[in-house]
This record gives sequence, C-alpha cells and structure tokens, in this order.
Amino acid sequence: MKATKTLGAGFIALATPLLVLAAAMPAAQATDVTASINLTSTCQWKIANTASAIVLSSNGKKYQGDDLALSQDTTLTVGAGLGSSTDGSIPSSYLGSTTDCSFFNNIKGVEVTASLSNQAGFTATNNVGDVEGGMGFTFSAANPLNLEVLSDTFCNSPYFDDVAASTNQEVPVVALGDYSVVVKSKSIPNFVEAGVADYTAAKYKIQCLQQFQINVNIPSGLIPVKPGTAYEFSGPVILIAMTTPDQ
Amino acid sequence: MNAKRAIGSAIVGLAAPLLALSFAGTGVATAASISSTIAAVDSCSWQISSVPVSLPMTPTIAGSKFDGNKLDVSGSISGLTIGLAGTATPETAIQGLSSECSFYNAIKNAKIDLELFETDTFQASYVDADGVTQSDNGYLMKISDSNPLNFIITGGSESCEAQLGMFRGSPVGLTGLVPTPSNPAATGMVGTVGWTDWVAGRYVAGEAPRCTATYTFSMYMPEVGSGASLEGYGFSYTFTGPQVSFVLSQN
Repeated sequence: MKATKTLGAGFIALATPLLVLAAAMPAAQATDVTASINLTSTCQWKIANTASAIVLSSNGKKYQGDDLALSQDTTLTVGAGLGSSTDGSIPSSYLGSTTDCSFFNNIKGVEVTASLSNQAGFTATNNVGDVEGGMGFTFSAANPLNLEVLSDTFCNSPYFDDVAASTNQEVPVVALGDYSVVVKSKSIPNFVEAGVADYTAAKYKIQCLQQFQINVNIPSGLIPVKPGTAYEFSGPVILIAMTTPDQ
Repeated sequence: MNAKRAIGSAIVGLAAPLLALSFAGTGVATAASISSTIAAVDSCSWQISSVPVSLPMTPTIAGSKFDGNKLDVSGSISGLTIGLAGTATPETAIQGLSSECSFYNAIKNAKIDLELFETDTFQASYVDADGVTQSDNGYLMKISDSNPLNFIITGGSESCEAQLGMFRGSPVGLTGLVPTPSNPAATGMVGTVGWTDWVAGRYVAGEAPRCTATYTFSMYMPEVGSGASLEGYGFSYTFTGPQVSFVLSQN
C-alpha cells in the first residue's frame, strides 16, 4: 500500500517537470468553428390591387327617374411571400410564390376587412358645381352599398377561411354598412416552400385573390335641377385594412 | 444536433428585427374613394309649333262672292303640331324627331286653349277706286253666340286622339274674349283643344307622343239688312278680326 503511494508520488514528481517542459514548447493550433448559411426570407402578408379610387359605372345608362344600378368590379389580392417592402405593395413574386419564406416560428395570420367612412350616402353635384340635395341619397336597408364577391382564387385553400364566400361558387352580398371581413386566414405553416412548378396544388397557395364588386342604386324619384346634364356623385371612402394576428 | 441548434439560434436572432418591421402594428390599410358620374336624361316638355301670324278666311265655297246674303267663310292652319321632347332640344318635338326625355315621375299633361284677344268684331275695309283704303263701319261682323268663331280639328295621326285626347272631329266655338290689359272687362269662353291623357314616364328619341293636325276656323258673314249695310259694293273687302292665341299649358 505504501509502495503504491510512493509510486504515485513518484509519478507526480516526474510529471511536474514534463508540464514545465510543455509550457516552454510552441502553442497548440486552434480552429474556429464557423458556419455559413442562407437565411430564408421572412414571410410577409401583403395586400395588393387596392385602388385609391373606385368609380362606379352605370354601363352607359342615364338616370331617368327610375332606379339606376351603379357598380364596379375590383380585385383584392392577399398573399404571403418574399418581400422587403412594408408599404403594402405586393411583389409579383408573391403571386407565384417563387421564393421560399418562413415565419420563423412567429407565425402570423392575416385578416382583411372592408369598412366605410362615416358618409352614409352619395352627394350629387351638377354641371355648374352646385350640390343638389334632391339628387343625393343615403344608404338604407333597401338600398345599401354592397360588397359582392364575384369570384375568388385559392381562397378556399386550407389556409384561408373563405369568410365572404364559403365556396367559390357562392356569390354573397355583404352590406358595407357593417364592418365586413373579406379575407381571413386560418392555420398557416411556418415554412412556405417555393420553386414549386405545380402551383395548382392547394397546399402551396398561401394567397387569396378575391374579385368583388361594389354596387349601389341611385334610387328612383330623384328630380334633377339640371336635367340633360352630367352629375357627379361622391360617396364614402371604403377602407381596406389588413391585420396580422399571431397564430 | 448541437450544430443545428446553434444555427437555429442564429437565424432567430437575425430574423427577429425583420419580423418586427413586417408585422408591427395592425398591418396596412388603404382607402378608396367611391364616386360616379352619371348623365341625367333631359326633362320632358310639351311643345307647340309656331302658329302662323295670320289666319286668312275666305269663302268656304271657293269663288263665291258676298252678295248681301249670309256667306260662310273659313280658313285653316295645317301642320300645327303638339309634341313632346327634351327641353334642351324642343324643336325636335315639332320636327317629328323628339329627343330623349323623362318626366322624372312628375308627369305633366298638356292642353291647348284657344283664346280670342282684343276684339270680337271684324273691322271692314276696302280699297276704293283711287287706291285708298276705306273703313266701312256700317257693316257689323261680330263673333257672338249666334255666330261663333268655330274651329274643328281634322286629319292628323291617330295619336292625336288616342294619345293626346284631341277633340278631333268635334267643332268647338269661340264666342267671347279673354281679358287683356287693354280690355280687362272682357269675359268669354275659351276653346280648349284637349288634355293629354296618355303619357308615360320616359321617352326615347323619336318615340314621344306627337300630334299634327289641321285646325279649321269658320264663321259666317251676316246678311246685309237690319241695320247692316256696305258702302263699297264692287270692291274687295278685308275684314280684320281678333287675335286667336294658342296657349299651351302643362300640369
């Protein structure tokens, strides 16, 4: 037992000089460990094709004292994809999802709503610039300003609750007097695969293109002071708002 | 496995600022004003064609001469038109074209009253052998209940009766005067052509109601005698009578 201890002490005694020797030798070579990676772009929701002015048309018909239908079609596009812009514009690449993107575990859904400003009707201005109260009109239950969904594309994919139209075939009419949800997403994947040639596969369609129509009637019974001339009708502002709630 | 975790941490660390930029706040909103420009159809208006400045009456039997006995005289206005058109182009109502118009649910009917003005007596005159116009106050030709100025509407399209309610074919007699500033005490009967009674709300160009007819006026020259006499036998007489006004009203 003692011998063992002695040997042990001997090893220590011998080892110490070795360490000292080592300290005097050149330093060891060290290698830094690094990695280079490409980051997938961040997914961003965008809305596009929202016009600054919607001019309703009567399709060439003139007002003659009877109901006159006014309407205008417009397209609203909501998509997720690559983009550095935050101004609301939507790059063309969004529409084809040509680039990968990821929510990086901070997945956001999207909800697009349409609402009206406080002006609850149209004012009419005649050809000499006078506002004619007799030609203006307000919205009513019988004559609302309508948001009518004409068609949508990809909005019935697994990633969207097609709020306005439960199926592509339905053509609902939503009175814009109340706040209306136009597009709403549901479960969105964290990573959106890109470069997929077959875009008809619903799982890659993280976008919703919805064409809708704004329509209203100029009601019957209005009497123009300046018949035979043109009248400008000025209505409310329609607000298209997008929110991106956490998922 | 550890390396993957390290890389993952690096990505999150870089991505977080981007996410904050992209999804900060409540997102984006756009506003679109809603407007429209619409032409309003012209309003409808009834129109009447120009009435001639004179209505010469001549013996109803052509070539007849007044010989002191009762003589029927008559004269016609042909082509007088009542029509409907837009106010901006009223002449089209008379031209048979009409223009697009609407009553805007305030439908107006039209009627034409024929009124006598100023006098109910014809002033007789003749040109003597010296070429001088002479008044002959000895012969009295006066519109009265027994000798009214009759008018009758003849000819014209079916719309004159079917759509415009004209008294076509039924004579109407004018027997009195309408008060005027120069003759405020005058009272008398007004001859009414008729009310429109078939008018819809809107008419496209060329299809609005329109009536063109002939208005024939007649009365007779009373016989000479009973205090009436003529000075200018053998000369041609001119009898200048009242004014007949065609008054178009809409309501």
